[in-house]
Amino acid sequence: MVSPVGEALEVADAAMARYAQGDAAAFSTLYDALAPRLRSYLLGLARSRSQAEDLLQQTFLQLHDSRGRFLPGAPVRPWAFSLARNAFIDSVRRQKRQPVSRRDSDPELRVVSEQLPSDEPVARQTAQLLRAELAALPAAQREALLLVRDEGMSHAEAATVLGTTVGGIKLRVHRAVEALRSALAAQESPRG
Amino acid sequence: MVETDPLKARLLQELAHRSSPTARHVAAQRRLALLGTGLWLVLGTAAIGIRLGPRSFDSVLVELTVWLLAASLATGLILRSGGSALGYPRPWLLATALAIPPFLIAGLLLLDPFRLFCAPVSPKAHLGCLLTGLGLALGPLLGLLAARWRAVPTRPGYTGACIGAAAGSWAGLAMSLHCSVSEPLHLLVAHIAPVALLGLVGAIAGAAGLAPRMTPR
Repeated sequence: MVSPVGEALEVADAAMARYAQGDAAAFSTLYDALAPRLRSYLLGLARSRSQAEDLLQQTFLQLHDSRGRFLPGAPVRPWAFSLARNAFIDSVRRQKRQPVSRRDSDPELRVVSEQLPSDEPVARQTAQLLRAELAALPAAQREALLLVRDEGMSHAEAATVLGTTVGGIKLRVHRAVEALRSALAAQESPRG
Repeated sequence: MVETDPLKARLLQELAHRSSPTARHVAAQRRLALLGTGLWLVLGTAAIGIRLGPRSFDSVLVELTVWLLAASLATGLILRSGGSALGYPRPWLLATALAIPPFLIAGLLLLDPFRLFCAPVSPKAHLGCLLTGLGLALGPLLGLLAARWRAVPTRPGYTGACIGAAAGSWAGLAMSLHCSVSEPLHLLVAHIAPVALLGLVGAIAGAAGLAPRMTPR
């Protein structure tokens, strides 16, 4: 039995195959299947929601420009994520951005935590802490964690997207999880 | 129907006026690039001439087989992609690009140990073969780069290195029909060193041109 995620990916693969052949109508299906995942991934990488939206637009424009070079029958998800990643790297190079720092002061990234119920200060605090720690992780670890934990990619798939080895991905995810765990433990300990 | 996602609406509007090559166009361009590569090699070999010299037929056959194996392996990795739109994993590409020169040395020297007893040749002969080989490699280098142009989103430099090694190997195959010098130093300097050099050139060209170019905003 195919899971809902697997089904969505099959739909995306089929749509991409049609789009690569020139079927313009397939773009809408492709966008619906890929955009939420890519948006979530780019939100994890980008400085702000508006930057993530801009990168998402770049990704789909690039996907359109490169559609003829897509390998027929191949899964579209790793390819689309690598285009999104390239869009991010390209924007970083353009802006000559400083290394990612803690971004919890970014008003656009505070949106999610502000939507938590006000009677859950601990949950809010934890969410904020996790978001800040995630943002402070080295880019390589953050990307690996986003792809494997959020997107549910296999280690092999994530390795293909990030252009590294399966062992490298496992190590990055492990280190990222350890860093987040340490941060949570440090938050817990003062309360005793 | 009105789109509720503003980005999707914007994209649909923009893409309606933005053309891009489809799979059929790209496949045709790729066939043309590979055909050009083949023609370049055939015409190049014909132009420099086939000279077996004092070599035995078996020795030539061994030489051709070793070069053909190296060229086919690297070209297969570049063109077949292993069922992924992102191509073969980085370690495969890197290992192939790095392993081809030692494989050629081992194959050509170990399978034909009589080379070790050959008389030395002049540096002029080294230079002649080096330049001819590089000239012959130009066609496959450009052809294979064109076949994967803007189509390698991850680690394009590694694919480029493989392309360089493949181009050098195809040129080496053609050169092995032309050059009858069996001296090991000549083999290293004039025939195998260009493969390594072309791997480096391919890596630089690949990093610059194989990744999809981001659309300027």
